[in-house]
Amino acid sequence: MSAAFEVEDLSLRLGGIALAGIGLRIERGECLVILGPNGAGKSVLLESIAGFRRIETGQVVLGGRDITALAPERRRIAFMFQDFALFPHLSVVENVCFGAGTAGEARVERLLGRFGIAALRDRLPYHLSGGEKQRVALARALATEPALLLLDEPSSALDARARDQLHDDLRDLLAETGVPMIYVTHDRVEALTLADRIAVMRGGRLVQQGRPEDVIHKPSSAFVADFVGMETMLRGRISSREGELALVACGPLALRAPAGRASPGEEVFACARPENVRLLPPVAASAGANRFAAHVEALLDHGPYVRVRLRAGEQAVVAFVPKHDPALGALGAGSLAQVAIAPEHVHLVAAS
Amino acid sequence: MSAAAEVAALPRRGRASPGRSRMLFLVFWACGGLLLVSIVAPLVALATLESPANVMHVAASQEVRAAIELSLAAAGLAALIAAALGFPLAYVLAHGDFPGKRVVEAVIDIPLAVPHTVAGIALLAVYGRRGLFGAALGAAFGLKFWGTLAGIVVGMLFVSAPFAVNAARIGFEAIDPKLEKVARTLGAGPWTVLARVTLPLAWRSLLTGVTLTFARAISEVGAVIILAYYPMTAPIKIYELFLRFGLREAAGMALLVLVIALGLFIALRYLASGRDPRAEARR
Repeated sequence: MSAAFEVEDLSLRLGGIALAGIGLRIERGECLVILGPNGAGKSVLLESIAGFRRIETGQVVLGGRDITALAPERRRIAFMFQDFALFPHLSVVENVCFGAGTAGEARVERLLGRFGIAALRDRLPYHLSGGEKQRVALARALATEPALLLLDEPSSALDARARDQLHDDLRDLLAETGVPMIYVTHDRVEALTLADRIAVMRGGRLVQQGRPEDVIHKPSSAFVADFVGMETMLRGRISSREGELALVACGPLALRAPAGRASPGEEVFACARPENVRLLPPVAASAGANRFAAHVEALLDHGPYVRVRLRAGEQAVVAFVPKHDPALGALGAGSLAQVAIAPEHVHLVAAS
Repeated sequence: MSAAAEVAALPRRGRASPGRSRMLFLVFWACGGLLLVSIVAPLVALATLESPANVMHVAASQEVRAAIELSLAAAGLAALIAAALGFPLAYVLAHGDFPGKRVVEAVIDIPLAVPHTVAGIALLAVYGRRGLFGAALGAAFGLKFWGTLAGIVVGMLFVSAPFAVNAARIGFEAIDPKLEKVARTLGAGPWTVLARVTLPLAWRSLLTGVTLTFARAISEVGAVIILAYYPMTAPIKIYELFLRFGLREAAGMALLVLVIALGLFIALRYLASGRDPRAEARR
């Protein structure tokens, strides 16, 4: 069975950006998050899917129909821009009606109610808050009954509360309508919140695709590891294998980690997410497996936890310590702590 | 005294805007003020030079009326043609790059740099009986450009068209391209987007373009006088009155033309002003 939406081997060249060999698959009711740094080509990819860029190779298939050669207005793909792009000369209801036509009046009324913007119907966009604009833009996009919804960093213009509201709205919509979505962002936390699947983009290519937990916990390269928040990345060399585990020598430190396909002699990064890095009092006795001493450099309050930056020789380590953790009391800039990372929480990526 | 009360107690001017240099603004206002006076003073002087009675007397003259009507008609036609041909060009220039764009932009501004009598003679070379356009249009439609309304319009169009293109272009460029894109994704084709998004957002700039074009056209003498001394447009008639009868006769008609031209200009400016929805869209 074909997917709700599919991109095959898409490539194009545009100024400094070249997309190459892009392949995507989305099922109904799914949200795919394209995650990547600025300049990776995320917006260009969305615009070429919407039909604003001529692609050089590849195919775009929506609902089993090849739409590669169709004009944007014939694709049934709705687009939500970063700043929502509401028509400034039209009222809220006129904005939502824009693509719905007279036949869609009932639908428009339902959407105005659904998004709680019926009371704003005669306002001009200028008078709306960021969150209100976002809901109008979403209602306008859905009024055309699209077969796919593209969202280009819509949260970047919103405050934290409106951002949460947007995420709730989008998850609800996926459940209610099943309209598949592609959401572009450079924010990994947002990617985790929204995604059924994540595709990481770099330099015009998709470097990794998969379920969020796989991408976040098993990045396939040093770039992805860094981008998805593996804040501790210890450079080292695999010294030996012991069954499923590899022994990694990171300077004076020795770590055990699931070996995967790594073989002895290979240069790797031993990566760990900050929430999996534990800090213990610096008692000498238990300098056992995957434990080593480090100096605390700085502590930053992040709300429910404290972000602790440490240094062990040449290597930088970052740990999240929950506020209620009694170990926190002993930590201060310059103090010594013992770092512990369970082997199953260490992930190896090639260093080249 | 609390800090807030101290601030409130400061003299008004002292707390107006701490970031603004008063000296600099004073000097700059003095310079700008001189310029403003040099524009307004002659017009006020003209208005006081003539009695309303004399203006009415001049206005009663058939010749004067014919010249003014001719000027209005010709400038109106020139503005319409400049809009019909210039707005599409402005749209193309505002929407993306193409090879030779710089050249096209330079060509549009050429009329601003050419002395208008020179333009008139150049126009005669193409619109004259043996000129490229003159011969073709003469053969096809019987149009003649020497001493006709068509000649006047052609002269006015040449010198005023840049204003139509440039004003419209500014208007089109100020529209966020995302608005046109999002309209496409909502099912609107290119022409529908033009009608429902682009034109409603650009109309003030387009009207400003028409206004400036009309104003420039109606004030043109140099290019027109070469193509058509007769029939006389208003500025040329004023010049003739000045040569034949002196300042008093000419000033009466001058004031009349000033009132009409300025009245139209102000009315159109007023229409194109007001709150701009695009400005509102900017956060």
